[in-house]
Amino acid sequence: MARLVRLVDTSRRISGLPGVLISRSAGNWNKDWKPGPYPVNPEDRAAVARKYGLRPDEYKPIPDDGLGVGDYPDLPLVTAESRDPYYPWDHPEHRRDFMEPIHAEYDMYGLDRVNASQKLRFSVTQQFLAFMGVMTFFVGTYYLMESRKIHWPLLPKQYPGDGKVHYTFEKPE
Amino acid sequence: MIWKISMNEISMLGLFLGSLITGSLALLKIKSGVMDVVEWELFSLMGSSIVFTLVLDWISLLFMSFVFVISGSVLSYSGSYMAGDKTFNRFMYLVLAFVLSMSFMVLSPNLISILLGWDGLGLVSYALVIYYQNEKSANAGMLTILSNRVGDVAILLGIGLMSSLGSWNFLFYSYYMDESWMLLKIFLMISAMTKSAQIPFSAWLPAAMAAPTPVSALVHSSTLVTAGVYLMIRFSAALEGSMIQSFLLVISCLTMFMAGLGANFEYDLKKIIALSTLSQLGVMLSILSLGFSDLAFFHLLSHALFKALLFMCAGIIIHSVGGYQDIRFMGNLVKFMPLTVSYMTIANLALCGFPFMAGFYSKDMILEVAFMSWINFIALLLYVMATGLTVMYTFRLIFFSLTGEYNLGSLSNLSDEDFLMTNSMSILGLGAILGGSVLSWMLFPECYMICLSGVMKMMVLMVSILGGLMGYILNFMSVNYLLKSIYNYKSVVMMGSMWFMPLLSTLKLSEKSLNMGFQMEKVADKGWFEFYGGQGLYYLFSQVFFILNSLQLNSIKVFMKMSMVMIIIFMILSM
Repeated sequence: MARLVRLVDTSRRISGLPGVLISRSAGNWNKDWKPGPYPVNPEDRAAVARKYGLRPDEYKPIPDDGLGVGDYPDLPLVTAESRDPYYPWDHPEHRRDFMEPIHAEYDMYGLDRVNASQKLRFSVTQQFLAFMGVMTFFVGTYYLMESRKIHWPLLPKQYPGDGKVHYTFEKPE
Repeated sequence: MIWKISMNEISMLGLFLGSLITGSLALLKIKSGVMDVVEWELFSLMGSSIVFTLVLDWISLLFMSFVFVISGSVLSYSGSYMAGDKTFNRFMYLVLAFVLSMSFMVLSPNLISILLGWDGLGLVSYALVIYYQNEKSANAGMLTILSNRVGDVAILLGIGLMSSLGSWNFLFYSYYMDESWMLLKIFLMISAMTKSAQIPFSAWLPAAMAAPTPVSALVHSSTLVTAGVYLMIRFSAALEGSMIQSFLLVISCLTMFMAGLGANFEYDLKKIIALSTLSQLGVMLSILSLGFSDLAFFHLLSHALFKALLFMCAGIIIHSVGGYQDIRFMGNLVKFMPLTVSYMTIANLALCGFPFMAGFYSKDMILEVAFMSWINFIALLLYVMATGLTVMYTFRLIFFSLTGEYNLGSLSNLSDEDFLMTNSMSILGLGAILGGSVLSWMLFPECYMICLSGVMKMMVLMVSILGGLMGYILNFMSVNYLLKSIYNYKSVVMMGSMWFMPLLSTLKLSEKSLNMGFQMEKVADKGWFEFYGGQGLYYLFSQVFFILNSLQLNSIKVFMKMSMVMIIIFMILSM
C-alpha cells in the first residue's frame, strides 16, 4: 500500500498535473486530534505536558466543567490581529504555525474579530466612564437649562431715562 | 476595452446631462411651487393596489441635480485616480449603483420605497469601503454597515408602526402625526442619526475613510451621510413641536463640537475632512431641530459642493506625495501644486464661512437664525465653540499641508499636471465659490429677517478670527513637534479620539457580544440544549424504544398479560 501511495505521489509530481492528495502526515480523523481525559494525578499531568510539548511546571489544564476540553492546556490568549503580520507563518491567513498549541478559543478571535489581547492605554471601563461623563454633563446641563431658554435682546430696553420719551400716550385720531 | 477606457467619461456626460435636466426641472418647480407625484401601479390584487410612487418637487429634483453633478465630477476624477486599478469597471458600477440608490431614496415619498434606496446606500457603501481588500478595510466596512443597519431596523420598525394607517406615504401623513406617534418619530430619528453619524453612531464615518478617496468625496461627504438629514427634512412637519427636536438639538450640537475637537488632534488628512463632515452634519441637524428645515437643506447642498471638492483635492495630494495621508509629511505644497492648493483653499474658506463663498451664505445664516431663536444656552455655547473649532482645524490643516516647511523626501515628484483630476474639480470649484449665493437667490427670494444685537452679529466673525489665529499660532509654536501636548496626555487622547467612541463602538460591543455568544453556546448549545435536546432525547428515545422493542419479542406471556389488562379495563368501563 505504501508503495502504491509513493508511486501515485511521485507520478503526480513528475507529470506536473494536479492530483488528489491521498496521504497526510498524521491525524486522519478528528478523533485523533481530540484531547485526552482531564489529568488528575501528577503523573498524568506530566505525561500530558510532554504530549503538548510543555514543561510539567508550565502545564495547566483548563478547569474541567464537563464540556469536553479535557487535558488541553490553558494557554494565554494571543489573538490573530495582535500577531506579527510580517512573520512567515505557516498559515499566514490565520497567523499561526502548523502544530502550534493555541488558545482553546483561538478560532473565535480571527483577524476579522476583536483584538482581545491588545494592551489599551485606558481600560474599556475608563473609556466608557469618560464618554458617559462628558455626555451626562452636557445633556444633563442642557436639560437643566431647558426651562430657562435665552433670547438676546434685539433692542435696548425702553426705559424713561436721559429725558427720552418713548410713549407719549396721545389719543388716537 | 473602449468601454473600459471611456466609461468614466460616458458616465460623467450622462450624469451631467441628468443634472442639467433635473436642475432645470427644479427651477421650474421652484417658480411654479407645484409638486408632481407620479403613482405607478405595479399590480392590483383583491382591491388592494401596490403603487410605486415618485415625488418630483423642487427639493428632490434639486438634490438629484447636486448628486448627479458631484457624482459626474467624481467619476471623471476616478478615471485617473483609479486608472491603475485591476477592477476599475467594478468600481464604476458600484458608484453608479450608489447614485441609483440615492435617486431611489431622494425620489421616494413612501417609507417602504425609501427603505429600498436606504438599504441600497448601506450595501453599496459597504462594498465601497471594503474595496481595497484587507483586514482594516473589512473591519471598517463592518463597522459602517452594522452602524447603518441599526437605522435600517429602525425604519423597518417604523414601517410596522405606519402600517396601521393603511399607507406609508409620509408626505401626506407627516402633517398629521401628533404626540401619539412619538415612537415612530423616535425610530426615524434613530435612523437619521445612524446615517448622518450622530453620537453615539459617529465612529463609522472616520472609519469609512478606508474607501478610495473618490468614494469618500461622493459617498462619505456629500451624499450618503446627508440621507439622514434628508429624511428628517421630509419628516420635519412631524417633528414640529415634539420633544424629539430638543433631544436632536443637543445630540447634533454635541456631535458638531466633538467632531471639531477631534479634527484638531487628528493627523490623517482624510480623517480630518471626515470629522469636518461630521461637524457640518451636526450643523444641519441642529438647525433642523430648531425648526428651520429649509436652512438645513440649503446647508446640505452648499456643503456638498465644497466638501466633495475638499476630498478631491485631498485625493490629488495623497496621490502626489506617494500615498501618505499624514499631514506632517506634507508641507509647502503651495509651491508645487498651486492649482490644487487653490481649490483646496477655496473649499476650506467655504467651509469656514468666509464671506461670499458657498459656506458663508448657509452657515452664517444658520448661526444667526440660531442666535435669534429661543435657544438653550448649552446649545448656543456648543454652536459658538464648534464654529471656532471649524476655523481652527482648517487653519491647522493649511499650516501643516499647504504652507510651512517642505517635509517630504527629496525625490518627491509633486505637480498638478494630472489634468483629468484637476479639470474634474473645476465645476465644484466654481460651485464652492458661487454655489451659496446662487442657491440663496433661488431658495430665498424673500430675505430672511435677521435682527440681532451688535455683539451677537459680530460673534461669529470674532470666534472665527480667534479660531483661525489659534489654529495657526498654536501649531506655529510647535505644540506638536516639541510634544507639549504630552503634558495633558489623557485629555489629549480623549479629545483626539472622539471621546473614545470608536473603541467603545467596536471593541466594547464586539468583545461583549462575542463573549456573550461564547457563553450562550457553552451554556445553551453545548449545555442545556444538549442535555435535554440531543443527549436527553437520545436517552429518552432509547428507553422508550427499549420498552417497545421488548414488546416486539413475541413474548406470549406479555401478550396474555396485556390482553388481560385490556379485558379488565373494558369490563370496568362497561359496568
